[in-house]
Amino acid sequence: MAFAGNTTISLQLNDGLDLNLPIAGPGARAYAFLLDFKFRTMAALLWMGIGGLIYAKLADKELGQVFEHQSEMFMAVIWIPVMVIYFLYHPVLEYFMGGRTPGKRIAGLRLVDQYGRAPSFQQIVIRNVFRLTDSLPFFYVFGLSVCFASPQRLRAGDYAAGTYLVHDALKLKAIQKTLAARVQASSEPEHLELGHWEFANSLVGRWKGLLPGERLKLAQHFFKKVAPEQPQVDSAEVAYQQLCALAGGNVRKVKR
Amino acid sequence: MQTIDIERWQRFAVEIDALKSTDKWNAERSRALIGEFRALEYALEAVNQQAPNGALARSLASLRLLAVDRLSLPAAQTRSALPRWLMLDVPQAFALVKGAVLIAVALFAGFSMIGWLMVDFAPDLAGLFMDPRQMDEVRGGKVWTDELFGVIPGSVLSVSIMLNNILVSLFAFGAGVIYGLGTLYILGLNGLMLGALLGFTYQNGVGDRLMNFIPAHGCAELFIICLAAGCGLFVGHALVHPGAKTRASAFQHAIATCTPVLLFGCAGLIVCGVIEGYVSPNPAVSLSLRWGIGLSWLAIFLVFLTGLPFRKLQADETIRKSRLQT
Repeated sequence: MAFAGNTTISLQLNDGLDLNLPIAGPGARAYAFLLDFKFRTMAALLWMGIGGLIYAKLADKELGQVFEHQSEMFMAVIWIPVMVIYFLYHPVLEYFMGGRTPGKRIAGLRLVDQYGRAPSFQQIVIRNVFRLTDSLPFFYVFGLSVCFASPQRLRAGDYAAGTYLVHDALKLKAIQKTLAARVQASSEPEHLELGHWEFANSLVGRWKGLLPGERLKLAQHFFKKVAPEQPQVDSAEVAYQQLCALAGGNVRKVKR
Repeated sequence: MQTIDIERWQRFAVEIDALKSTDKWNAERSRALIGEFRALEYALEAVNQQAPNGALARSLASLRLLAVDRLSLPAAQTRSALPRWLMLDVPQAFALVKGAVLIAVALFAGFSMIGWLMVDFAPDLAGLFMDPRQMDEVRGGKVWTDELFGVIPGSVLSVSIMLNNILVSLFAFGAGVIYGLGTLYILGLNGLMLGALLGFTYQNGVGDRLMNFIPAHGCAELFIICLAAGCGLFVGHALVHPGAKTRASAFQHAIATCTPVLLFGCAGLIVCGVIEGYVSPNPAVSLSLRWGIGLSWLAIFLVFLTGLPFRKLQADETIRKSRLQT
């Protein structure tokens, strides 16, 4: 295991090949944690509401009296499920979602072990047990301090479990879409070389974000470079359609 | 400039996706996919030379990561994993950490005695661990455990006690990360508290009633908290004396060694919670029966922790491992 700067981690696979993965920094970590915190709190509160209704029905109580007296049924219907949701959210979801949680997924992060695989059950348990110390004295101050000090941007729980929080890979559908676009673009008689195709692809993807005046200018520069013999394009609409054709369709639907 | 056969990687992506259903696996197919996986490495290198960090490079890198995930899945051994863990992993781990656990038990006993003596010399020091209302109750001949039965349902008591004990144990273990100092603090605090409470209640003539409450669950519960603290000390020791390893890898190794013992301890605390919720506060259970339950549960726990019934299995495993090595 070696580190290239502070942005990627190089893990050695079983067969000797290296796997470079982009490390998630404290900001990305905190963002994913806050999202997960929101989700698990919402899930716990939601269950408290649903459980409260069920409990009121079963115990024949008014809704306002539900939280007044603790009984065995109260424990079974409300308290235990809420505790389970709140405390087991991270370990259970990380195990069943291959090192991800909904918050990590939205933030584009995932946990991997030292071989780049999804962590084992034991690793996930250890990582989550160490939340107790990482969260000390409040708001994860200890965990964040360790994270800032470590070159791999790991908190104590990650050190303990041997896990790394990295930026996640693209989904299989997105991969297949890109490959299909490149295949389609390559099948054209006058197809672009890879570097130019990447540029066309990127330009089409960012079309909406560019200033209207810049769109046509950039496209004209590009066409001049890849097809100098062609007449200059005068309309942004036409330029966009030609770029789409060259990119092989690997574009987000852009409203213009 | 090297040309890249993208259609080949489209086919590979389909094959990798199909690995989700493991019933279609066979050795020949796996070997072919591993060969393709290695070839993907070269394709990625070629793409990175022509257009680094582009969409195609990102896609092939992601495909490689997905392939790592799918191709290196360990064989599922769900049925045999739990008995194996119980019969082999837990006793083996305990054999490695038992020295630290004995130290934790001795420290806890020592701190408890200090707590008792402290209160014996200056009764007001009990106020460090008890609130004034509780102290007044004890002075008036009442013990807080008297009111547990019939007031709070057994299940409520069990779950809250269980959760608290598990959190204390995990915390005693996790605090070992501060070179064992955090664990020492928790051992010291809990030991002093127990000693002070016992000392104060005995001083006021209600100690017997508190001692009546403790034995059914306390024998195993206190041992398990010491067990978790012992694991924390083991981790702290690995950080202080990493030996030939780096501190990070010594830390990781120590944690991995302790984990089976710690998880087994947490499972034991669930039983302790049930006993504390249903047996300990029940006045109908005699003191001798309480001691019987407490000591029996501790003995059962220790038998499994040390792996006494599985000695033959452990010996067979050692022979199997040495054969594999040779």
